[in-house]
Amino acid sequence: MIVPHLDAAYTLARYLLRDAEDARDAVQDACLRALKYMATFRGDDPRAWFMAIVRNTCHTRLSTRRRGDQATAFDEETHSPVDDAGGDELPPALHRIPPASVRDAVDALPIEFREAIILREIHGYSYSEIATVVGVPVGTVMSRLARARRRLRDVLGPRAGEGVRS
Amino acid sequence: MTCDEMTTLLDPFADGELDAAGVRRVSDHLAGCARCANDLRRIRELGTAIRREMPALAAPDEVRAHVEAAIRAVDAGSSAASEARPGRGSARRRARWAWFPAGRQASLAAAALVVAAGAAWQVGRVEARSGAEDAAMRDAVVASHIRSLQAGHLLDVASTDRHTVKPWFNGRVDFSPTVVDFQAQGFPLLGGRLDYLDGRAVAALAYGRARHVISVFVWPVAASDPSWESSSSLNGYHVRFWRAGGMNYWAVSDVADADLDAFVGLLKGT
Repeated sequence: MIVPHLDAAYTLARYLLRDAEDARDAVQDACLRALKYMATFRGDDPRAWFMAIVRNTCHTRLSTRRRGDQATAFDEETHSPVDDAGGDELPPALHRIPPASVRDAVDALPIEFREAIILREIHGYSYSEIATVVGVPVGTVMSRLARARRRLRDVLGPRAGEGVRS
Repeated sequence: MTCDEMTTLLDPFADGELDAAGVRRVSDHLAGCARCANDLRRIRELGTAIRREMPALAAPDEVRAHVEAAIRAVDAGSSAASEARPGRGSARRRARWAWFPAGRQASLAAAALVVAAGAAWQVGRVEARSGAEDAAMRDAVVASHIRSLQAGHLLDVASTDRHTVKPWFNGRVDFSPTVVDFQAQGFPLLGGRLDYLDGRAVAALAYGRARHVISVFVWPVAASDPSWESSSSLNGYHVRFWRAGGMNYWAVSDVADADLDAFVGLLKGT
């Protein structure tokens, strides 16, 4: 119940933590924890169980990061909408021209909104699967998603997404 | 229904989370309200833009190797513990997993085998099918194909772009079906949907051929199923079955036999 979901686990960790090295460590930690507790697993959805472990591992790392380095965390999360990922793709000046990229906008969302958007739009999970992974009621998932999308549209402007048809 | 009521229903509608009555109410409103229709379009375009800029990623090889080694270590640790065989390598492994009770280690090893089998976890049936079961499966596949056309539920994700269709299955089924567009060969990809066959969720892909539709159902082969193929017809529908790359494939359509064979040939060639 671990190996088939490694890619999904890494994708979640990478976009939640916004750091490739942190994501690698988080996925490995989560797998070891899953192996450790696998024998006690009694639910009917092993994937959601495993992904919840991945999600919780990421949350722990994020809060440790915030506690351990207040100034950096503050800087990262509040002052700059741009993180390391976008750094080498565009000259710095272009980052300031609105609208920001969709990825920047998602990265800037509060963690509760970000994880809902990632699990829904990238992983394609149903509301009830997201509820299991995140550990909140389905209604909360629904309202977080709606609010997250509204926020993204506000940040990205009325033209966001236009012409992005495939 | 008013536009205000729509604001709480539009997101679950876009996400396929409403029941049939809700879908009906929203659809009726959308037909007569350009503003809400535009909001829906923006929700969908936002999703497309997110997937474009933040694609699903593959776990780095080193992570995969690390995790597989950990699973092997659990496995090796359990046999080393039960046989109590001395040796430098096993001693080290034993030390690393010493915090595991021996019985727990054995069950973990079993669990790791289930991971390796992958499909067996869900399918749970590994014995070869009988002839009657094959016929029943063929009937179910044809019925599903017809039902998808009747109910207008041909597609959950309508797109000719395999880079849209393939990731759509990610998270909806526990495997990754091969999705290829054969537009150039006269079999354009129409999209995909989720279906339920053989007691499990399967991936269904729809391809066009002139005005006909070809449904392809894909799901993982149970571990010990033998490799074989079949070709048959039922009520004017032609059916092909084969296995490739650890997957069961069923193709159903009312196109000419030769067309279906050509299509199956393309799919097998990928």
